[in-house]
Amino acid sequence: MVEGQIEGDLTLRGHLTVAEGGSVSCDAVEAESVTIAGSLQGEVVANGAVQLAASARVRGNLKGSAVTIAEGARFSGRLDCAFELPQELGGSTREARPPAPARR
Amino acid sequence: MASTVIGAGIIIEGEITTDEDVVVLGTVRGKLSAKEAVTIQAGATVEADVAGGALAVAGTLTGNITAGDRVDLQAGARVVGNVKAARVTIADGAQFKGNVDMDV
Repeated sequence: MVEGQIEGDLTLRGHLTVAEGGSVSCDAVEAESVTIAGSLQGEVVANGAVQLAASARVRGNLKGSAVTIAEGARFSGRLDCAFELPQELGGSTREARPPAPARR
Repeated sequence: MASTVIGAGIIIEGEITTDEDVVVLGTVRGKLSAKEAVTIQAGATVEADVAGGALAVAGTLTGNITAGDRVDLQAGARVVGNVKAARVTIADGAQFKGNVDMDV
């Protein structure tokens, strides 16, 4: 849970919450799942869901299994979640990627 | 206002331009330009760049989206492309891959 300000990278295994008024400025954030109600600048990679609340102000790239943006949230950047498209629209968006490294 | 409905059994390839609301239940390939609301319902497949006033997507869409007012990706929506609108929401259960630009 971030209520103040952070500059730098964040890596955690659990859930990250950036509370309203909190601010994160970094190159990379890695977490299991992320909820942002404050402001964030940088790249976010989550295994699970990424949620932007109405008060969120985010600039950067988000990657997660599912991404939701609430009414009122401001976001600029790239969203990436892998899913299957029907065959006629080019099949899967999942790129072939090397197997994930073993968890420490 | 009267709306144009592209029914579930209809496949349109080409360019659609209208001043009315558009509701898509079928398949559209090409380009879709409307001044008012565009609704892409669940089950619809759109492979086109879409422009409109307010866009609601519950179906499958590949292409770039530009809206004068807002874009709502609803649960069940599967969208690959870039979204440009002042207000964008992504509901829980919607899947999206691409850039979001709210700096309009």
